[in-house]
Amino acid sequence: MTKQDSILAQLTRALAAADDRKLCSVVAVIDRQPRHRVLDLLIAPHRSRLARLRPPRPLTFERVLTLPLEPALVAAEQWVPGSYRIPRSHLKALHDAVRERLEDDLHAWLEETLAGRTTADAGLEQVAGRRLWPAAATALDATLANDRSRLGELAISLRLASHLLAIGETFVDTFAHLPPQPILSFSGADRRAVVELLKTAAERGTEALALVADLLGTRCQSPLAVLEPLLAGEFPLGPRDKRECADRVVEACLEELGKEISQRLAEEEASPEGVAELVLRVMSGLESLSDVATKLDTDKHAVRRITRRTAELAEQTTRRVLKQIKQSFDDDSDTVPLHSYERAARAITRIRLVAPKLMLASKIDDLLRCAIERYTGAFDAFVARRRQRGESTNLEEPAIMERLRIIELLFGSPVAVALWERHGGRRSCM
Amino acid sequence: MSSTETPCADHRPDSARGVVVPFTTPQFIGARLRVGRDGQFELLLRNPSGGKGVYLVELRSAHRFSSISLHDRILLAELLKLVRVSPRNVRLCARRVALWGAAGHRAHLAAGAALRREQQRIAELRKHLANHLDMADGPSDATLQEAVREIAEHSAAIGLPAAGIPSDHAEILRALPTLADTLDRWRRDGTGRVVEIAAEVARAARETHEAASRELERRHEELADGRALLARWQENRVELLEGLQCCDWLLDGWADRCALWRAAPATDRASQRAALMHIAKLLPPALEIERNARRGEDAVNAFMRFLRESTDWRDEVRLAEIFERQEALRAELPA
Repeated sequence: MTKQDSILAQLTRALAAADDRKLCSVVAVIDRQPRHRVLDLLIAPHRSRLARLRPPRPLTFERVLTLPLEPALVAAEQWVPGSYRIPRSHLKALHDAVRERLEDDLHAWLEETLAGRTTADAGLEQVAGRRLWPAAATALDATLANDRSRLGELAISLRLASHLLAIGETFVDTFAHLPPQPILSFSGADRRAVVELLKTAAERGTEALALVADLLGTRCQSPLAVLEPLLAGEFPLGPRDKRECADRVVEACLEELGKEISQRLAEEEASPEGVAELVLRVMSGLESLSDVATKLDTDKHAVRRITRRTAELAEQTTRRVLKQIKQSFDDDSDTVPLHSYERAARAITRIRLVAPKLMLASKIDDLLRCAIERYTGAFDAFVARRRQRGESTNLEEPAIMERLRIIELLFGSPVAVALWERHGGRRSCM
Repeated sequence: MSSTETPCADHRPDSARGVVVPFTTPQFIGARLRVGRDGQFELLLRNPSGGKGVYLVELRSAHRFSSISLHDRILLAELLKLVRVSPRNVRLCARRVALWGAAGHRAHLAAGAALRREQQRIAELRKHLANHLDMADGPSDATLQEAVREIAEHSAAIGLPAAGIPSDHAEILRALPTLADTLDRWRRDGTGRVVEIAAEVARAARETHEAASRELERRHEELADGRALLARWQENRVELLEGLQCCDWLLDGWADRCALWRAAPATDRASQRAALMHIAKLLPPALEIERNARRGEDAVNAFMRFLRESTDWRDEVRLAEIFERQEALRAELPA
């Protein structure tokens, strides 16, 4: 390891431990230096954190140019050729390709407009982008037309980037105003904006439409939420092209979901939180699919298989968690990780809410109904054992309250409140 | 609780509109505790469907809402033990319940940390006051000791930065202009009711900042002069202790509002819109409460109807998420 590598490793470790304020100050220092690949590497692992913190960063040609591409960017090692993604490692070549063909006037205007300004200057990125993005799309199209043979894999990224840059203004504006993730379905003004964006993309052709539909899907709890606006919109494409695009979204999504469910089913100790999140995602996706099922050639067997497997996963997880938590109720030692069981109980609550859609409501209800008695019995026994040992049986004791909380999360507030009152909780409100 | 009984009555417009109670049940968001016309404690609940008007429910019958969380059931029981309504008393009740773990593990840990922080500040304030009274090891006389203890306990959130004792109020005050400025910038790009709410919150934040800054400065000056403070305590103890809680009244609910706004990502307007709607529920309702209020059974029935209408599984997931967010908020705020 060279001395520079060692310093870099030390700095990377220090930055990982730094709080938000410190990280932003370091980024500000780095931004004041001339562009340097090594310094950029330092920030790279904190990209998602910085996206959340949004510290003011200098507005540069590269930053404005990259803005419409952000949703499509992935780390080089995660990139799969043929996917609708652009590896970050292609960015430099992409910037160079645009710069090379950009008119001098526009370049000079950008330099003047952006000089000394930061991302905190609201709206300036869009003002600069409105002129830069269409010109950049034209520049990339020209590069692709002239040099395609020597570009190799880069050609794919340039083509995708060109689509996004050509519709940059609508794309950036729509994405900035979308509801918080994960979106369950599009409605009202959001739906209108999404239909408009898809229409703008469709003007560039099927690939641009599929690309934008795919990127919109990443903002949704399930990519299938895009289907409804995709099929409802009047686009300058034949119905076959539109359906092909929708079928591709469905196919890719069902395949991905199928894989995820199988993987979770194979895990002996799949995290209940992860399972609950997956179950919600699957159900919200399938619901979106059922809204448009008549307009598509959906593989109904695949949908039924996914629903069945999801139900299996939900039931298996509920049984396992109920058993595990019950065991912890019988354990009086202080080492029982009750707070992690609290999270698991919360996950079961979520699964229970989706159970009717999985045709699993009565099964989960039965499981929980049978468990209530065991749990309340175990709670009574736990309190009794404490009493026998001469320990406090005050309901405000954290060890007792945490068990009550788990009962609340699993079986609902009325059960926990009744138990609390039965054990002498304040009766003054009665 | 008359609004003329304390020297800072002008700054206590909220005694009629109540004190924010940090409930976790989604339907109780924005609920306020106040003393009703008959002298009994009552809860002022926002219309569950988001419409105008409020519901007034006697505190002792609020447990009849069947969906109420365990945390809120216990908090109700604790609130019933209060002798008088004040933001400090409600805060201490809520912290006690969080310390028992009724709002979850994270809130339990946060409440523990808040308690330790407060105890440390009280100890430092006692030491500071004792030093000002020229008593190296604290006042020897029992009455003096009682005075120093009470003043320090009521001043923990006020702190005394000049003596190196941090102030919770000052921390909230620092966040208010930022909140107001951000909201003003934010509403430039928007339209509709939510923009009006943003303007209303920004204006309230600025007014609160102005009034509370003046008040806090005054309290800091008082605390710096231990002898004068003691003399005032001997003259009228109740008046002094109420005065020390003026900032509590002025800043009631602002820590929650700032935290809600901070939690919404700066680039996500939809999240910010949702946060604003939530913040709006935390603002005191309009002054004509009695004219727009419905009482007792009407409230329980309205809430039951609201619950029955939310039958879609996605609505239920949303309610579960609100419940989680309320608990997470309990863990973030200074108790």
